[in-house]
Amino acid sequence: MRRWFLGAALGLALAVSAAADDPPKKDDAPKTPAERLAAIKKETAAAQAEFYKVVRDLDDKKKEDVEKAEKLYKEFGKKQEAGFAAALEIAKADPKSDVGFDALNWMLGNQRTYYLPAGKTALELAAVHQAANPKLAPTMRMLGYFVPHESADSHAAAVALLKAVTEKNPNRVARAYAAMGLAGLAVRRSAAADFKKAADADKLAAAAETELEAVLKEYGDSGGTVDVGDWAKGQLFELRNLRVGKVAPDIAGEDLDEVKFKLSDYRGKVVVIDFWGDW
Amino acid sequence: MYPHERSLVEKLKDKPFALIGVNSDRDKAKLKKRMEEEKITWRSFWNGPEGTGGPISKKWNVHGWPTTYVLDHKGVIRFKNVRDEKMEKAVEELLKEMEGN
Repeated sequence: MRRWFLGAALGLALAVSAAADDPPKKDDAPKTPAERLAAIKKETAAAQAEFYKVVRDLDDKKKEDVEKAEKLYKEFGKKQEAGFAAALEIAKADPKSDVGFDALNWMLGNQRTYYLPAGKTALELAAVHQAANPKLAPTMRMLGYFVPHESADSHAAAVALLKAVTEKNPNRVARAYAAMGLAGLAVRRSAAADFKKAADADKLAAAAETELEAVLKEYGDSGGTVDVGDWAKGQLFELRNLRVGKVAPDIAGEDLDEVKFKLSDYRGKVVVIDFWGDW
Repeated sequence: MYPHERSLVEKLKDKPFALIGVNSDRDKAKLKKRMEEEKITWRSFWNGPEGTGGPISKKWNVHGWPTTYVLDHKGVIRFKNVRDEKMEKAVEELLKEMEGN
């Protein structure tokens, strides 16, 4: 509510200054695909900023505020989907071009698209036309972390893009992230089998280890915002030492009163280890 | 999770059981105040000033909070990421198994 009043007051002030400084143009609709894409990005970003601004002032302990936030999120989601759909049309028109790449890259840089029909098409187009684009690295980081689940419509398209990037992309960081995404699938399969106590759990864990070792060997020192080497080492440690049935590695540290102690001090007792934080 | 963990610790206070936290708050003083308010009595390792990027969670490859492990009395990992009722059931199963041996 507070914002609405503020908006109304500002709106009046802006209307006055616009009348003074900004003579209306005859036709200011964007023309080229690049201009159209820029307008789509700007509109979507504005809708997102507006959504966050309003939601920030809501109280998540009040039911009516939570309902309002959900409603606003749905509205924003629809605007964002419309933006993705419009960007996809630009990409479809010329998927090999720079603007085609920009449109696909913008869409796929947002993990939400992986679960939308437009995202599936964008993944397919990117795999065919842009897998060798070195500018794809940040998007591969996103996709590598958030490969759509096997049950998702876009899963196969995502895997195809990751594979194509590992094979064709000249940028080693892009290849590293794509390889991380593919090895991550083996890790997920192993974790799911462990959870279900499936008969092939050990086989799948061994397969994941093999893939991670290959990623570590090939890309362990590739750098980038996310260190693929650290990622692979962490996953390998978990597979080798932290599966059900393994003796837990010891922890030696200090408690919150700075008294040193070890996890193994509690041997002989049933222990729950809880990684927690008060946030 | 606090209410459930509190009741589990209370319920099993005479049993061979321990709840050990690995806490990833950066501000220890603020945390201690919160622990008094929430009556959190169990012992925790402190993950250090880097918070969730601290050495223990890094070594254990923890990327989501909370993450839980349940170990039997021999130190073997028996359950991962069980919470609330499932955690209680897992602990009771292991206590029973221990008493049976």
